[in-house]
Order: sequence, then structure tokens, then C-alpha cells
Amino acid sequence: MEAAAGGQRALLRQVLGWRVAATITWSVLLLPICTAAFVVFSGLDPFHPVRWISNSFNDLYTSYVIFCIFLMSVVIIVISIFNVEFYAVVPSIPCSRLALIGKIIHPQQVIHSFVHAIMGMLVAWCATVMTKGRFQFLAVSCTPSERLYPKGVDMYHDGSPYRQSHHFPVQPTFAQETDQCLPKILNSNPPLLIKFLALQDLMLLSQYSPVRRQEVFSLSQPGGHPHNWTAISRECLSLLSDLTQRLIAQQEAAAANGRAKPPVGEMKVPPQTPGAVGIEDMSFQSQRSNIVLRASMSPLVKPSLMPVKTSPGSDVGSPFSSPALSYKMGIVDVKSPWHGSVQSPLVVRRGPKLWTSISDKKLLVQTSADNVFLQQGKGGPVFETQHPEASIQAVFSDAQMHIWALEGLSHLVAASFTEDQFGVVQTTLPAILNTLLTLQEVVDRHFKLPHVSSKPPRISGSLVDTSYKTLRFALRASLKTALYRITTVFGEHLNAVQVSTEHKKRLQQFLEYKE
Amino acid sequence: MCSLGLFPPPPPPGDVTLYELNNALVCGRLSEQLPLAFQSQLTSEDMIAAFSQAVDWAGCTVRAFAWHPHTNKFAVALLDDSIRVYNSSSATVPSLKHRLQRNVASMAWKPLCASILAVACQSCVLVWHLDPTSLSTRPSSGCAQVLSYPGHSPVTSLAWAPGGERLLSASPVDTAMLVWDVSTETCVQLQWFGGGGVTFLAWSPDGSKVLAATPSAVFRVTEVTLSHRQGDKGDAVPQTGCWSPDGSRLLFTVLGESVIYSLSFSEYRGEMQGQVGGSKTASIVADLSETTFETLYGEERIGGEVHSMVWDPTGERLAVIIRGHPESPSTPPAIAVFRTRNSPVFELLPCGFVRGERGARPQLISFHPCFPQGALLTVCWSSGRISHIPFFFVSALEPRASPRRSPVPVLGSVREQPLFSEL
Repeated sequence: MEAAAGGQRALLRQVLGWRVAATITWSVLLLPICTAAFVVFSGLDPFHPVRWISNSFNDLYTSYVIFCIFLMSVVIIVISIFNVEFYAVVPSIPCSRLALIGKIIHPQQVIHSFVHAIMGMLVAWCATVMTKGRFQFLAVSCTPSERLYPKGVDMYHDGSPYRQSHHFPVQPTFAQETDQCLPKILNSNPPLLIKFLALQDLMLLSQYSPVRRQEVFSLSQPGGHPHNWTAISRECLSLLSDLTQRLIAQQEAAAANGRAKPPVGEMKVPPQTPGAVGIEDMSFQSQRSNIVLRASMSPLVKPSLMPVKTSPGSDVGSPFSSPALSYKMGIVDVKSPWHGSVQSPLVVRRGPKLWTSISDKKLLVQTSADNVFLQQGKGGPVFETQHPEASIQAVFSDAQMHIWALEGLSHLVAASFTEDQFGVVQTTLPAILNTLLTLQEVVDRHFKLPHVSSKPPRISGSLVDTSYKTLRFALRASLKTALYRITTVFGEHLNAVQVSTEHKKRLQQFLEYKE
Repeated sequence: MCSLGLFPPPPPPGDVTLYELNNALVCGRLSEQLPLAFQSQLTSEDMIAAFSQAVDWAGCTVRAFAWHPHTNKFAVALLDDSIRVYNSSSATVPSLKHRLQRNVASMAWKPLCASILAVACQSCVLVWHLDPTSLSTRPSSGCAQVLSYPGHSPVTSLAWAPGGERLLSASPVDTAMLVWDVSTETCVQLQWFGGGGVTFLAWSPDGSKVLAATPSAVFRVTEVTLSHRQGDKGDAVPQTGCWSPDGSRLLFTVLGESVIYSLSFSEYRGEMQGQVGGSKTASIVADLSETTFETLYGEERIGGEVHSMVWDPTGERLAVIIRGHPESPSTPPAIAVFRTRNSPVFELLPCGFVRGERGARPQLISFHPCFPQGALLTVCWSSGRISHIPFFFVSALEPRASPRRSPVPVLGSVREQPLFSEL
């Protein structure tokens, strides 16, 4: 465990290190050029060009310009350090006005904005010094553009080294690489940046690299187990089923919002555990009591606290506090390898609720004081009402991971039709098809909710990367393409795969190109 | 090198080409029926049962044509700026109209999808999302996404990536190709300098390369890999081009010359290459200069520049529209069909000429993407007729890994013919 965490930190340092170094180096190298250009153009004098040019060049060699260059390089390095410390791969989207305010007054953000303000003052002072006091303000071309409200500077910088993909080996050739190989990376819980890069690499290798695909489909020596494929498929499927659960939870919350709040008497949730409403679709398995509840997929049935009452003999607190909640889909073996790795979306983070974005989408009914903010209701103060578009975007904020997982998985399955020599993919086909079809059903239902299918207005000319706003459309399209890719390659052979009858009907629709 | 003189003589005027059987094109009058042995195999598909029929167009001229890549469905763009979608398994014919849909130049169905159609219009690219099970004959304009970019009009060529993720659009006015992500409606410009706009796009079926032809004497083949390299090939104005099914060979023709060139590419092995792999020079594989045929019905002159060229998805038949001379009526435009093979060595052999009704000039040709019994060539004639000509053969390659292909029993013996290979 320690070694794994240490190995991941080393990998993160390796991955992040050269990017940070490249960024800082480029910024510092470009600084004198930008400064020179600034000095030249700030002394623009079209009527006396020769004097202008000679004055500018003289100014460039004065001591205060050199001092300003030095000061601004220090500024760049400080800002880069801040970027490295506070980067976020996934945008955190505040969903209510209160959350937005909370985000701004968060101490981390305060320090961040304070330091940026000081840096800005320094740069402005340098600029005025360099122009000999003729101008009041300055636009610096080489420091990163500031935002209107401070948030964690994210990785969405256009043409910079942050966007380049990283190549992860599938089969480690050296002993020290074992921690860095793709299946291991995916299965452990790496920092988000590494996970994104690993999934992007999976997506690329599944399409363009037959050699690496062979490594994925290979068996281990001497046991003959398909470790690589098992690890990769398990992780992709758990990601997708996690998204399915999140979407179902949000649909439940939306369904409950339209109904009257249940009277307090019906709530039998003990005050110390955070209860969750509307989970009657989830069948949860407590590891201690081994009680399995099967439920049908009808999430828009009137939500109630039935599951709490109908779990006989099991402690009410245990299903919620233990992470062993799994979503059973179709015919999946209880002991299947990925049942333990599914994270529960219902475990609510304790602590200040002002700046959790994903978890505060669910309808929490609690009696403790600090949760009054999160109840959705018509009569509440203006801070509590959720901004619908923001809450929709929040659910899909990390959907890029799922899109890459979908593409990687479907390309590998399609390639396995001709390239899989040992048949390692065939045994996982039922689970893959079940997961994909269930997710597609849930996504389609999600798009029927209000506001979800409307495209956010596009602001042209903005430098900020707003691709996260339309991720849900990209996810829906790539999900359908992934299913069609598998059905087109396998064709009628898919009828031999064991799936539930309603999934069989939907697969038939796909085979006839009627979806 | 193959030339027109090696072709069998063209069929007599008034005869219509019906089908091909084992490398011989059979002609006849419209009233003739197929031999019974074939009819029992073909009744399952309506449009083959009506292979010599016209669809009732009543004077409309067909502007663009596109087969769906996986089903028996095709879209036709008409002179009145509407698009009709014909499906062999459904009697309804949806008619697509939109206020921005004017001067449709090209259409393309999205691969790996039920029914999404991209249309290249005067001012934008329209992407229609049709419901495949709907019975409505007038889908609303709300089903269409409008993808527009300033300066990118008129759009004349479209190409979907074979995996369906990206859509390329090209305009002769814009020096940049646009790569669209349709679901998020965003695009990336692929700029290059020189060459003017882009007139023709063709994506290789394996998804590895894109041919882009420009009005000036430069065309580019871009290898679509991890890092989008470009290669310049050639110093001639390309007219049209088509890829072999495995993406290893490109056949193209050049404005002003009546020959077919061939360019081969090495297979992409997943390694970083310095430049687009392949041969540096193109070789001539066919000479289509004017040839005179002495037939019983008089002298016929066929030959000239190539207007468009299509290769069927099995890589066995190549159809070419030879423009002829529009001024002289004795060299009408003709369709010549070649037999081709790409492995182990490239071969181009003559098959025959395709004839339509008297006076009808071919406008558009296209092969059906997944005809199980050989190849199906669809021809749109100037009279408004659309005819489907099947080519029955057993593919020389090993069968593709597609469970829908069923082998056709070979009737009759293969005639002995002298083979002309690449010289």
C-alpha cells in the first residue's frame, strides 16, 4: 500500500514534472521577448521612427528594465507553483448561489486570490516603471489569464504541454515499471490526472496500436490468466456503473422534487447517519449479513423510505456507512471481481457542505442543522435553489473519463473479434453488454428531464475552455456509437450471448439499426 | 497497363445493362426478366427485385446520392433542394426540407449509426437526426443541427471518419478543412498554406488516411494517427480519387488527362513515421483515351477524361464515369467497369461498359456498402432514373469477418480469358 502510493506519487511527479518544467521554461524564455516588444511598442512614435527605435533599444539595456524582467520571472515561477499545487483536472461546478459564495470565501481560494493580486500589482508596477510612468494599466501577454472569480486553475489550457498524452506500458518489461503499467494504474486509485491520462492512453491504444492490443489480450505466464484484460475491463465497467448510479440518484432527486415533502413522522432514519431517499432500485449487499435485495429498474416510482424498512435484520447504519454497496445489473456473479471496487455515491462527505458539488445534488433529509441548506423546496430562500444547468453539468463534469473508457472498451471488444486468440473477451461480453445497455437506458431517461437536452448558449470569442458544458451530449453520442460498433462487428453472433430478455430485445433493435 | 481497347465492345444502343454474371455484363431490353435461379435469392430485398426500375422522379434531376453504410437505405438530393430517404423495408419516404438546405452538393450518412445524415449545403453543414422507426413523411426542421463556420461556404465535400467520431467538411473557398465534433458542435481547423480551398475529400475505409484535393496542383494525403502528419504528394490537379478497402492504395485521376494513377501506401504499424509512408511516385494503371469500337450498329467512340470513380467495398470492381466530349454527340459519357484485385499484387482488368436508356447520360455512381452477393452499382441518370445493377461474383479474398455475407453458388463455368496484368 505504501509502496503503491509512493509509486503513484513518483509517477505523478514524473508525469507532471516535465509539463511544469516545460511551461515554466517557455514562459521565462519568452519573457524577455515580450518585455522587449512591450518596451518598443509602448514608446510608439510614428512621426519619429528612427528616434523611437533607437530610444527603445537604449531603454532595453537600462538597469530597471533588467530588474523588472527578473522580478517578472519570479512572478511567473510563483504563479506556476500555485498552478501545480491547485490544479484540478475536473472543473468543480458550484450548483447553488450559496455554494458559489462559499467557494469564493473558502480560505484556500482567498489565499490564492491574495497572492495573485500581489503578483498583479508587481507586474503592473514593473510595467509602469518600464514605460516611464506614461500609462496606467497593462495587459501582460505571458502570464496566465486571470479569471473573474478565483477557482482552482484547471488543466484546460489551449496548445500547452498539459494536453499531451502519456504512454503507459501495458506489459511491464522492467521490474521497476510494474507499478506504472496500465492495468495496475487503472485498478489502484490514482490521482485524477494520472487516471485521465491512463484512460486517454487506453482509448488511443485500442484504436491505433495492434501490438499493444495483443498485450491486453494476452495470458499471464505460467498461470494462463487474462490479468490485463480483467483489470482493464473491470475498471471501465466500474466507472460506467458508477456513472449509472449517479444518474439514477439525480433522477430520483428530480422526481422527488415535484412531489410534496413527506411528513416528518414517516422518516425513520436515525439522526446520526445520513439517509438517502429513493434508492429502492439499488440492491445492496451487506458483506456481513449477505442479504441481497433484487429490485426492478423503475426509478420514477414514488420514492419512499421503504428500503430502510424492508431490510430485515440488518443494521440500518451498516449499508450506508460501509462501502460495500453494489449495483446489481442483470446476471452478474455476486463474487464478481469488480463488486468490491464500486464506490458508493451515496456516502456523503461530512464536513462543511458549502463546497461539495456532486454530492449535494441528492435530496438529503436530515434533522441536523447544517443540512437545512440542501433541501430543495419551493419556499426556500434564494440561496438554496439549485441552478438547473449547473447541477446537470456537475453530474457530467468528469464524463470525459467515461467517454474514453467507452471508446477504449468498445474498440477493444470490436478488435477482439479477429485479434483475440485466447477468447479472453468472450466471457466478459455479457457484463459489458449489460453495463452499456443499462447506461444507455439511464442516459436516455436522463435526457428527458427538463433542461438536460437543451444546449447551453455558446459564448464565442471566450478564451476559457467550456467544453465541460456539452460533455453530456458527447457522452450520449459516444455511448451509442460504442454499442453500434460492437453490434456491427459481431452481427448475429450476439444472439448467443447471455443477456436478459429485455436487453436482448434492445440488442435486436441495434442489430437492425432501429435505435 | 489497361486501356479501353481491351474492353469488349459496348452494347448496342437501346439495350440496357442489367447485371453482371462472372465477369460478363449482360444487356437486354427492359422487359426481360432475370433467370429464375437468381430470383429466388433476390426476393428478400425489394430494391434488387426492381433493379431495372426507375423511381418516379418526373423530371427532377438528382444532385447527390448516398447509400447508408449498413442498411438498404439511401438518400437522394433533388433539384428542388429537398432530400428523400428511401428504405427497402419501409414504404414511407421521408422528405427533408430546411430553409438553410440549398444547393446540396454532397451527403454522407454517419457510420455506426441508425440514421444521421450530414448534408453539405450552400452556407452550412446540416446534420439530420432522423428517427429510424418513424413513419412521418416530413421530419421537422428541429431534427437538423446546423454546423456553420464563418467563411466556410459553400460546402462541397463531406467525409465521416469510418468510426463515426468526426466529420470532415471542405469548401473550395476555405483553405482550411474543418474537423467537426457533431455532438458538441465544435470544430477544429486544419489549416495549410497554399493550394486554395479543398474540393474533394476521401477517407480511407480503415480510417488511417484522408485524401484532400485542391483546385491548384497540390493534393494532400494526411495520415490520421496519433499526431496527424501530412504528406504532400503530387503536382497535378486531382479530379477524383478512391481508396482500396484496406487503405493501402489510392487510385486517382487528374484534370486534363485521361489516365488513372495509382499510389500505394505502406501499412501503418503503430510506429512513428517521419512522413507519410508509401511510394513517392504514382504509376499509371489505366489509359482511357478515346478508342473507336466497330460494332454492328455503327462506330462508337468512347474515351476521355474521368469525371468520377468509385471502388466497391470488396475491392473487386471499379466503376468510372468517362466524360467524353460534350460537344460531339458521338462520344457520349460512358460508364466503364474494371475488375480489380489489390493483393497479392494490384491488378486492373476490363469488365465492360454499362449502358442506360437511349439518350440518358450518367450523372452519379455509387456502390452499395454491404451487398452480400458481390457488388451493387447504383447509377443516377440524367433522365431522373436511378438504376441498380448487381454484379454477382464470389470475392477472391477470404471472406470478411461479417456473418451476413453468404456465398453465392457459382453457375456456369468461368470463361477462359487472357489475363492482362500490370505492365
